[in-house]
Amino acid sequence: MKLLLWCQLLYLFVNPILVGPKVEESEIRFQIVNAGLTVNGTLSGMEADILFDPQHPEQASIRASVPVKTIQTGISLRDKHLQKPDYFDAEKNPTITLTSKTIRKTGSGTYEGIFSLTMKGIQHDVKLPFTVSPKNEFIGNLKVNRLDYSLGKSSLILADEVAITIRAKLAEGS
Amino acid sequence: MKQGPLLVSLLFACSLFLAVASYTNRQDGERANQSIPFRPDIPRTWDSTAMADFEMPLATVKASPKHVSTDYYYKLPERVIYKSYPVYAPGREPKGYWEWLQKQEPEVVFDPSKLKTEADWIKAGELLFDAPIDIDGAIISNDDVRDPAFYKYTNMPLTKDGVMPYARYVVSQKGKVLLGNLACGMCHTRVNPDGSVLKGAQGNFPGDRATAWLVRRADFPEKAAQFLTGALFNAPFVKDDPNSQLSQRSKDEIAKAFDAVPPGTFGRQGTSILFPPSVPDLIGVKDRTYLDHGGLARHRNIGDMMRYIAVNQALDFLGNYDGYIPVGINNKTLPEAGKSRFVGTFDRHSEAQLYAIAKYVYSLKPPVNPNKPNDVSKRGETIFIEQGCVSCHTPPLYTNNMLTPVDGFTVPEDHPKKYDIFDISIGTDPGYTLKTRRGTGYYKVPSLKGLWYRGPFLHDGSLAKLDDMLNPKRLRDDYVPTGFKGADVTTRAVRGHEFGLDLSATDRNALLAFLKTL
Repeated sequence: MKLLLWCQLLYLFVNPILVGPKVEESEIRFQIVNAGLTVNGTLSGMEADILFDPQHPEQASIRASVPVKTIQTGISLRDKHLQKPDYFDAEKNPTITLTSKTIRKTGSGTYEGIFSLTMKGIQHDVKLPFTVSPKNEFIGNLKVNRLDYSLGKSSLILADEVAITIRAKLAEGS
Repeated sequence: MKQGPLLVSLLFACSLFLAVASYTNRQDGERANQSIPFRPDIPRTWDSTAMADFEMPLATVKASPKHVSTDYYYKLPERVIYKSYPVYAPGREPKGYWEWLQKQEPEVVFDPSKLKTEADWIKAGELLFDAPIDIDGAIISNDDVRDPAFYKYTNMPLTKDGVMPYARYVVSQKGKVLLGNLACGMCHTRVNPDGSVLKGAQGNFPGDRATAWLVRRADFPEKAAQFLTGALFNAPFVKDDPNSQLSQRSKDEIAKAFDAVPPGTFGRQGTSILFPPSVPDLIGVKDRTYLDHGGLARHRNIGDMMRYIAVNQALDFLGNYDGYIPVGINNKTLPEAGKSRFVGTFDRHSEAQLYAIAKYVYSLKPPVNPNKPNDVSKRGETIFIEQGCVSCHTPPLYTNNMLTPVDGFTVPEDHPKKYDIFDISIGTDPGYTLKTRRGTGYYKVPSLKGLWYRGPFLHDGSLAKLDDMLNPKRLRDDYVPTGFKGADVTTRAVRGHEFGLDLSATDRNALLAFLKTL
């Protein structure tokens, strides 16, 4: 089965408070092209520790993780296969993690961070642009090459590139 | 002037020629280059280095077969290939044919020194493909093929011309016409419903019913039935081996088990009639990287194909499975090379013969598919992708050429690096690959090409028609399998490969329409 996927991460937000805000809603979606059609998948159960002051994003600290076992692609056997050693090897690497290294402001409500993304025990730095709305909703998009993380093998029909969207909304007042 | 007898003789000769010619499929030979000189680079078959990693380890690793040594193999005499002749069903034989056969001189028909072009080699390979390696009645005999009751018992398919195309008469001595068994074509020939013949396709010789016919004969001793069944299927290294248990049962019970194996599946040696493999389609085999349903044999080059043929015709009977040699002396000791009395183990194909067979098998092409793509099948192709079928049944071969582990087998840590493992079980019956001498713990992902002319389906032929694969009722215990059921079985669930079972009728039909275009 197929595809691979991955995903993960997150970040988030705000208020110059030392205690990490509670993530009220989160969503991780990913897309990959398989045999010319786009396969959509999700990950759920994201947990995050976030320190984020919009006025001082350079001081932000974001760490998020999501369990690999929550992958859903609409085909249960494929989801099961994605847990196996040829993909995420979930038994040895049960979570995907994203940890901020640097974050800078790029515009009104827009930011860009360099994050350390670890999947299947393999770490790479990724660039993640994201937005923060007045309601503390963070949305970021990034693309990764699944082969960089040894997720499956090169394939004639399955694309290498995976597009990932991460959305997190913090609880009011947090 | 007495022209009558001459005319009759001429007409008979012409009709005989046409009958033989029409039965021969030459399309591939004709396509090969017929004029450029061809000097084959023939690999050494029983090369000890290549043989060492030619096969996957068995699921019971310690029982992985140790085949006979290179020295032993090359001490075996080479097979002599005599001209063979079609077998007609009773009532369909041309008048005077049997008498004519008695007058034929034996003729050795394979001579590699006369093969000048690649087309020559392929054509010779076709001849070898149809050449029996047994004339001692290993499965069927002259008495059987000339007996109408045999045809009725086995429901034997016949060609348009009344030919029973799975066996041939062999003349190795003038006046002695013997029924030849165990050509490649015996299993790998398919008679279509219209009586046309498709060589190399999933065969439909009712071979196990023919064996049941043999076993049921009053003069066939029970001990012989037990020996035969044991030699073919016993896997004593398997815990509570059901095959060994079967081979100790009564003649009637053994016959029942053979009877239960439908055409399109076949209890080849080392497999099981309790978990019978469907006969593989050889059309397109050049592109497969593993051979056998369990992927036992690796297929890295033409040398491996030659090894596969040599092992299966039939040196695996002399393989050592953790101390068990299927036709060894007392199952423990190898007979002197060339002295075994069991078919396929006292002689061997020559290197040139194996090479020619491999060239022919590689040249096989599918027949013209009458199912042309249309809007419905195009919708079906989209469903095929949406349902994720492409991950295993990847175009253009419609297989990813990988092996999937079965339930009850844990992929050893070193296998993903050494073999092509797609590490997910699709839940089909694991019996074949866990409880036979060919069991690796895996099933090969089959190609979907040619589905329209094949069947029954699944590795054990449990489902007769393609439509049955998408029938959700097959998962129920009260389901009546349309293909292989098993002796004394009336209903059972056919589990595994549970894809597309919840499609709407429209989508299901579209998917089927697409699959039939492949």
